[in-house]
Amino acid sequence: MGAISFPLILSLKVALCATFLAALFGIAVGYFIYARHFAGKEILDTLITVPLVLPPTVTGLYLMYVFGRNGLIGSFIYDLTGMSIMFSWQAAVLASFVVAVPITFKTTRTAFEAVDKNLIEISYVLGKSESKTFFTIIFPLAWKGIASGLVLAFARALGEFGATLMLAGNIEGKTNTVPLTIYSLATSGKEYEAHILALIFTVFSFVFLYTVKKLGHRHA
Amino acid sequence: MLEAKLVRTFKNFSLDVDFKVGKGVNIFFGFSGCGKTITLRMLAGLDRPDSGQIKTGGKTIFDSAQKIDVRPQHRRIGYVPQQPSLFPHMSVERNIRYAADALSPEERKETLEHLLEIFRLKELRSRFPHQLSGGQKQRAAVARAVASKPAYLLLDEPFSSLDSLIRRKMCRCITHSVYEKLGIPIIMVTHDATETLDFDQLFVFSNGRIVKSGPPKELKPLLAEMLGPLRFDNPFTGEK
Repeated sequence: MGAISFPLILSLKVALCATFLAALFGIAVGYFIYARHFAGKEILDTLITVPLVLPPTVTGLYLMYVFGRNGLIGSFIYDLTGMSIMFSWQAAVLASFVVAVPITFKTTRTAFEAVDKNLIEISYVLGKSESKTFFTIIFPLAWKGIASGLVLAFARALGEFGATLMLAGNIEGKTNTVPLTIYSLATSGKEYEAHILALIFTVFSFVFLYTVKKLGHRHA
Repeated sequence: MLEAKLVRTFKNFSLDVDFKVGKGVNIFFGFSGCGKTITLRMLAGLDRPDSGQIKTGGKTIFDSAQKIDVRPQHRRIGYVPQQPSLFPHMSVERNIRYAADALSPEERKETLEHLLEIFRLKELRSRFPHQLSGGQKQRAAVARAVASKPAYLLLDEPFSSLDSLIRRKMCRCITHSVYEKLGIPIIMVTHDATETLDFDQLFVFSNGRIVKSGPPKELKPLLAEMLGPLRFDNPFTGEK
């Protein structure tokens, strides 16, 4: 039972953490790029979106260069704390975060851009600051688009495989998320267990997406 | 007194206007594309002139030479654009409250009830914008604009989506409510000459310039001349 429940719980934990971080990053950077005019704006947009089209193994490889024990940031963290993020559940969160961010960022920027500019100008003319206008006008009018992006990001994080394998490895009882466990079971001849886990994962994903869709309709 | 000298050059159009607006209801009249809307937007701080000055009540809110550019939030100029612009996720009451939230709770409540009364919105206070007609939306938008107690109110053809009879009636009703009852001077843009006659001061725009200003009745010959070549109802000569 633990062989099935551990990957399920870990996958959920990783996907929730990654989606939460991707939401914070996506909304903050999405708003910044939407609201500010600066040179290189579209280059920054493309850079954040690139993991959407890169094979996850390539993204994982880059993350290894950056966060590995000898990587740009990884070596700094290791020197400071004596610890490395590699081959931990936090590494799986990092990998899922990087592949989920383009989705939250893109949907957020699009949702902000869909808000009628007249309404924003009116709020300013009524004496409201940029932050007040953001929280009372822009965000409430854009939240449906943002929420749909978060659902897609969660789904993407839940199914993340390649970058997670590169960064977190597939250590049983430590970093084996559902996709990694299914891969291990299927390649080691345990096809029955692989099918059971795949079925549970499919049913969960279906119920999750269906519930979110229903809730979305109720609040529409 | 609102004084402005505004210069702005676009690719195929240049604006160069210099005017003083006093109390009462002031009309910016001219055909589409002559620079009325961009003038209002510059006064409100939503567009920036290439050069010039804007002063309200002796206080400079824009001066290109002195690099003064007071943000729209601090200009105390109300603005109602052409398109209905109520916040769609707020009821009529919340739209007005939003504008008045800098006031003390007692003053806010009093202002809200007063505005709902004079703009005949009491019955509509809990409705959302999608539940209102075009005229009701614009009444609510004007009520919201004055709730922040601006020194001037700018109306950019706010009733253009209504048919002409209702538009004229609504124009008189709103301007009466805002100026007579609340004492807020108005600058209203229109390209409908019939709307210009009822008000205090008329500024005639043509190709980015103010070609004439004065009491509307004195400018009747100019308006007749402007409308003449268009060969439709000319209210100033009786021609058809």
